Amino acid sequence: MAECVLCGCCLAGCPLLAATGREELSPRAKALLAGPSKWDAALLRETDVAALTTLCLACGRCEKLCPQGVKVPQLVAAMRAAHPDFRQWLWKQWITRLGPCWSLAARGAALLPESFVPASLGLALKGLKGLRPGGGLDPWLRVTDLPEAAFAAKYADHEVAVFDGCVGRGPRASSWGENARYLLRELGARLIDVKFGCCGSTLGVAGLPGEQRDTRRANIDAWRSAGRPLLAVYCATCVKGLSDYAAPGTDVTELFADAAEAELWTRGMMPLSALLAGARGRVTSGAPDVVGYHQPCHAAQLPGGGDADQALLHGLLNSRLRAPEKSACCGFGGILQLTAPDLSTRVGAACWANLEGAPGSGDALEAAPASVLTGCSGCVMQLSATAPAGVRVGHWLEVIRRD
Amino acid sequence: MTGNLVSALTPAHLRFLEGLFPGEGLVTDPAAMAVYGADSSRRSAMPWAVVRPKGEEQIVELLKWADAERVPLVPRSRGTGMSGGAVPAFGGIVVSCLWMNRVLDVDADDFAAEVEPGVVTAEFQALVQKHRLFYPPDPASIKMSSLGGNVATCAGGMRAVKYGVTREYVLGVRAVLPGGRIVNAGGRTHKNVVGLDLTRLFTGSCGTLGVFTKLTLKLLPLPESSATVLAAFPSLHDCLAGARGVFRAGILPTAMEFLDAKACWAISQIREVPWPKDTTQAVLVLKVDGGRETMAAELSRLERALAPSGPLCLFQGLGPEEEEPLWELRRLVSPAGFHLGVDKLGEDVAVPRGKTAQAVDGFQAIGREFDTHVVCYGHLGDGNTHVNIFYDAKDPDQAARAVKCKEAVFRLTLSLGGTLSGEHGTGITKGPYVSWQLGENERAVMAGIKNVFDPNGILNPGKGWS
Ligand SMILES: Cc1cc2nc3c(=O)[nH]c(=O)nc-3n(C[C@H](O)[C@H](O)[C@H](O)COP(=O)(O)OP(=O)(O)OC[C@H]3O[C@@H](n4cnc5c(N)ncnc54)[C@H](O)[C@@H]3O)c2cc1C
Ligand code: SF4
Ligand code: SF4
Repeated sequence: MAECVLCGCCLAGCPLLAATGREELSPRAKALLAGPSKWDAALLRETDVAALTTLCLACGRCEKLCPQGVKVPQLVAAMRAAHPDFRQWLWKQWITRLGPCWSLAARGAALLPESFVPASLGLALKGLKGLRPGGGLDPWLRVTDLPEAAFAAKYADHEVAVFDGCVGRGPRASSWGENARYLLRELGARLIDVKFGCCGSTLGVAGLPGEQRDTRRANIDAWRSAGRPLLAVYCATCVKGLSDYAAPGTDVTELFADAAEAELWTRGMMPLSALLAGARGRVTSGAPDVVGYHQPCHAAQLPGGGDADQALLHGLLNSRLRAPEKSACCGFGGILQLTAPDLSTRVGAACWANLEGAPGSGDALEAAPASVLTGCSGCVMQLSATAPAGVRVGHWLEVIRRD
Repeated sequence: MTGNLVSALTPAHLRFLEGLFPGEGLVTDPAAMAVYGADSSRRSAMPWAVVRPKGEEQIVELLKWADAERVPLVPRSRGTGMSGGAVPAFGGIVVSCLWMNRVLDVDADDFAAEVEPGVVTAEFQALVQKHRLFYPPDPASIKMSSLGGNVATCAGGMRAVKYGVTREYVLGVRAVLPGGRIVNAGGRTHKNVVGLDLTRLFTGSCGTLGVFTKLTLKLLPLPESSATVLAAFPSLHDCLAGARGVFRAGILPTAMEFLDAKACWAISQIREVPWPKDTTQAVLVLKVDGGRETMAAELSRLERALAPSGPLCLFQGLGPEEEEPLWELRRLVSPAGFHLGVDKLGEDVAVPRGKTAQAVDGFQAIGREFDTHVVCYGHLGDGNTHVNIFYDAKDPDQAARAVKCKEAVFRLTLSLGGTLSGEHGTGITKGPYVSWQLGENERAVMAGIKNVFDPNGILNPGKGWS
């Protein structure tokens, strides 16, 4: 991988640095410690380095700013994978206790008596409980126009499968998958049912590359047996996780039959919101006064650039949608919530402050009945766990009315 | 002057620091301290400890104690300095200012603002813009460096040709001196000639005279709009002729930057570039600002002024959104250069403005003479040229040639009446060369001044000119 030149360009993006003012948590510190230009090893204890560098949200903001192409989240994942103590600890805390997939974890969390859980896991647990049935938003948005013609022109002869990953099969999130299918049917898509598993991104971030490879292989097998349909994906982190299967610079033959199949995968994988681009809608009764939008760090992009979910929601809600000028990380960070809940909480607080400051309404979020919509399952979890009283958080699919 | 300082911290020292900086305020784990020992000069040294003051009281206590105990201190903000100013190369405690990052006051009637040193410059700029005010200094590191660091280095920027450098916007500095003395230099007025100009002395002092705790900055009314032109040329001389044409036409651009052939190539390695890759030998980027109605007219004036020098292509941007991609290309040149070599000597010499063409020709010839990659770019409008020498330090022959190259660049600069550093400061990377430029008398006066502020030499020892 490229070498860090210590230019500091990445400092501007890191939500951990912004929330804490601790430079040792910055991407530059991680690149300095874990990258190829490693600090004189004699001075540093390997375990200290691992403990520090793995304090990361894996949000990828630094990576986008780095002119050298240093990929800090990858360095961090490698560090996590290489560190046997950390790996074991993680297995114990997360994979075995709560299950590897959010939906299972949410179910587990609901059953787990609170007194059983170490205090440090409190926030993670609250987030998971946020995914339980009943925690969701009530539907108040009717979609009136869909880009049927544009869709037909491009994809009339394709079959479409919805990628639920591990989230969409969960109890609360079942409405996400159902509404995604409803919208696609209305759009004129020929839907087929394919059972996919977790996209694997959290496993990679957690430093479990073996497990990640297995889930990726299983998903590709399922896609291949279904005749390589188009994939409609409604979680932003899944979009990122799935496009990483064939990211530039990776050896695609490890997962795919050949480069052509990898290309099919990449081209056939679409954020749901991009397929719905241009849709119009009408707000029905029961809609909250203020609707905030939280942009995930891994926001799914439109083909020409720009956040696909935000563009869609803007078309559906117009000026009712309130989005901060600059997006802020929610602090979920895959597993940071488990490894350093205090840091995760601080980043979360900065994120809410940022949402509060969004233009378009003089009211504080708590003052009016408010909802915050987003397009990423991880963000939904984190934001529901950290939301101020009276603010409800959900995936935008939850508010869609099916008539 | 480092002779009387301690060479390590004792357990008693650490106990004192634990008391003054409870909890996360003190860092002693080497893994966590490592990053505080490095900056964008790519020099590094492990700090003895890192402290994070939240306010002035802690700094006063720290400087009282450190002066009495003869413990060296190294002030640090965002660590993007290019000359190792924040690197504890001669040992000491790093004082991180990141927890002192509040904007205390923005006053649209006084055209003044008060800030703590750790405020990120771009965030401050965005904030005052909301009040329709303007803080012009814009180092290329604006999104990641701090106002404290900018004042301590007297950072320059691209708008210097019209608006000047950081110095022009520092009305007052409040600093804590060794022994815990608080000095209020300058004030809130835009004019002030009572006493010696200590504000100016602090500006560019590289953390050697005092630790800033508050800065009073001058603001301007925000220009309504701006516009940018990027033009590519088949030769450096055409590019410089274009620049002269602009001034002759009576236009004072806000910014006027050039990139030489190697700089253009390096940028094309990390971004899609708009200029023809095979014929472009130099690029000129110009910005003008003013009233909204006049911008379109200014753009055509610029285009007319440039036409006689025969640009290969010309791109225009009207308003920040269109301009930003053009400027982003210019800002990327510093890191992009690493595609020419993994190690860099980054010099930022300045020559009298009329000598720029001669200087750049000379620098490129020096590169050829020593068979080394020399990239030139920078602030054409004010004669400040970045000369970056790329090489591979693992190859002793290349490393030796790079140093020879740098010394030849310095000699040429001085022979043209120039200065070794226009904006990065001398720090540790250029310290040894200061005596090439400054005579004995000047250095003796500076040492005397340093002695008044910091008699025991605890502040950022071994930096700059001392
Ligand atoms: C990509 C890139 C582009 C750059 N472009 C430019 C440019 O265009 N123009 C330019 O001038 N520079 C430029 N620089 C250099 C650098 O950004 C500036 O020198 C900047 O002013 C440093 O600010 P900082 O907050 O990072 O300070 P630091 O690097 O942390 O410190 C710089 C100096 O200030 C002192 N200091 C810091 N805080 C205090 C304080 N509170 N009290 C007293 N002293 C203090 C330190 O001891 C040190 O000597 C660039 C750097 C990079 C990496
Ligand atoms: S991935 Fe995000 S949290 Fe981690 S270092 Fe980069 S910017 Fe910071
Ligand atoms: S990781 Fe990239 S952006 Fe950050 S300091 Fe290193 S080279 Fe610069």
